[in-house]
Amino acid sequence: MIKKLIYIMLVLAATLSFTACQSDDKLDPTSIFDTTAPKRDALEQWLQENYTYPYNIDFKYKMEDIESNMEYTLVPADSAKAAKLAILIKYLWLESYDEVAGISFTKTYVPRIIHLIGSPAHNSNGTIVLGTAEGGLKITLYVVNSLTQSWIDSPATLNTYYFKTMHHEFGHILNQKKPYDAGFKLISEASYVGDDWYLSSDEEANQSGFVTPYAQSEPNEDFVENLSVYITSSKAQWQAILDNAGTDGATTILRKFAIVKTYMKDSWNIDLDDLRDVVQRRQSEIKYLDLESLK
Amino acid sequence: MNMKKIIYCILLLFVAFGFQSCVDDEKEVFNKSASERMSEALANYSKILQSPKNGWRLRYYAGADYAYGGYNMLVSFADGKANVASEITETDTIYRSGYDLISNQGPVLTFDTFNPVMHFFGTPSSSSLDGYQGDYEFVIMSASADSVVLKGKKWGNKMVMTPMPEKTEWKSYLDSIVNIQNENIYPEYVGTIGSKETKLSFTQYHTLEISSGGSSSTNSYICNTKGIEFNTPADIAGHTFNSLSWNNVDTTFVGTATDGTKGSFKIYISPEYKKYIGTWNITINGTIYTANVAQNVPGQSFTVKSTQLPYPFVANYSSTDDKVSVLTQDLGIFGEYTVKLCPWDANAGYLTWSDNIGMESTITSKDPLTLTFANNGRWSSYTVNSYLLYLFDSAGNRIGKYTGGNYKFPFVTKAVKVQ
Repeated sequence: MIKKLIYIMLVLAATLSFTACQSDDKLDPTSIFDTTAPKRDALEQWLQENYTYPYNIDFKYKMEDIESNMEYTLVPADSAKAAKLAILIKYLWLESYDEVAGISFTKTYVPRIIHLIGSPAHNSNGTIVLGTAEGGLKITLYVVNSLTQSWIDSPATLNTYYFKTMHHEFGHILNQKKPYDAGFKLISEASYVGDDWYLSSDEEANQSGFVTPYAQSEPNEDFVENLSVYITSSKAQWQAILDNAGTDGATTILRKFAIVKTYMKDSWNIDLDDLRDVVQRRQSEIKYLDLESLK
Repeated sequence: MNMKKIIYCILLLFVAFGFQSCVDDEKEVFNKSASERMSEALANYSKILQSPKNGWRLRYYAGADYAYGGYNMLVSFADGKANVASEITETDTIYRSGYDLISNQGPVLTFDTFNPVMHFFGTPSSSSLDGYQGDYEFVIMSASADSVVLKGKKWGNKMVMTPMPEKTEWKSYLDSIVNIQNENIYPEYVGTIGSKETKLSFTQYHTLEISSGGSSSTNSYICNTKGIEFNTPADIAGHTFNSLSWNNVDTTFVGTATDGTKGSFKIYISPEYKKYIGTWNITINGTIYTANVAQNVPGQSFTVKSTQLPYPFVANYSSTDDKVSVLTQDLGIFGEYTVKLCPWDANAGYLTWSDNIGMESTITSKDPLTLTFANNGRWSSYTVNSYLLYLFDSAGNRIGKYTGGNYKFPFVTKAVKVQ
């Protein structure tokens, strides 16, 4: 009996002690997060209306070092140049995909963060990083402070420094969502050179069956280089690459490109010829854009 | 052990733990949570930064361990926008860009959109991946109405901001600093402290090498409206100096050590330098040009003038190897163009206008003083043996030959001092 009593008392004590601990749990009415609304200047308001609301994109034109690569010494983007680039990216990149694939495709798959950096990210081998994509969530663009009127007047330059990079990185995002035909990796399997890609010229790369020297680094890069070069090249520019490549090189490039084209059609219902034409048309319309004021 | 005993033990454990957890009623050391205190601190810093009516003087130090020295930046803050002017750009230009106060590694002041002044030292290039190792994100170490102490996040230099006097105009303040820099362009000064001969040598950056009694040290400094102030007190011949003042009339730096010892350092000019001043006969393509060589920057360079030359030019002097050299330089203005002296390889038929390329002298006789000239080896594939005068536009594009007179000076071989 005594034993039983002790037993019951223990059970009671155990239950009581648990409830005693729970009774303390009241939520602190003050949040540990700062909930005051930030002050937004004209550019920030424009970005909210043109990037955040329609596309759910956080367009970070201010440098945030936790968002950037600490291995490089970098400086922030000039805010006036960032504004121009924001207008250009919307017109040449986001709205091209809107036009060809529909706005819900763009909204769903574009990265949630676009982060601008003013300087290039210089590598010790003399190359520079033009852009990076992380986990399908973020695209970082560099060299924003070099944007001048003569660059704006030259679609080829804009493509080299920004848009080829954006199509390239967006290609990685699409690949992460839906894989491409594994047969692609086998076509140039023996010709990938890894980090030594920068040692070859455009022509050497073309002759080895690659659209750019960087495409030689590995199959995933090769795939999105095919994609981004095709989208940003006119018919004549694409033909020039094939002519450079010679018969063998061109055959290899076209075999790989066929897989890229099929992938975009079958996985994403995007006709690359349509996309290329839309991008070309929009490039020719840059001169009608007002880059000086935010509307 | 029977089942009952086990349950008994487990229950006992529960009771013990249960009570334990209740005892542990956490109390905060402070009245408010860490994040609330951080927001309050940032709000307070924000107020302090915006409080001085005429902004702040930031003593900006670049380079790991202050290696590139100090530079004056005048900064004012208002609602997320900073105005910055400095001695390193045109003194009447104020650059505007964004700033923010954020919490990371403590309270941080960050200049988060590009500013040509604030980001000058941090801008990387292909030849210098870290630029001049300059910070633009600073941990706020302390802040009050009369001083803000910052610490660079990446390179770790401590920098102090003090309010600018209310009535002082930014441009005139910076001009007086730049004027002193333009006056004391001489690299070397000597003086005697106690019985110790001491030499001060200015480097390419804002650091000063102090050599005394066989030992030497390098000290970072920043210019002010009187002369220079050291980042940390400098030991000069065993005495501690915080600053030195410039006297342009005597071309001396003077100062008083913390122990009252006076120091005075007079511009040092190598005696060898003076032997070049006078009249010379220079042989160019077999023709003799008579020229007058005069002091330009004492101890550092000469001005060479001749009635047979369309423009005077500057010859540099190096005291370490007693050589005179003539390098690429701007000679003057012709119409809307700049006339440049361009080193030329007349045998190969190539010219250049890159800096530091030219010819340098070797002494072949002391009486009369005779020099021969040869390529200085700074032009990778070609050999300078001649000079050309070419015109350039304001963007630096080469327009064509100088058309106001003789533009060709092939085969500069020798110079003899005649007087």
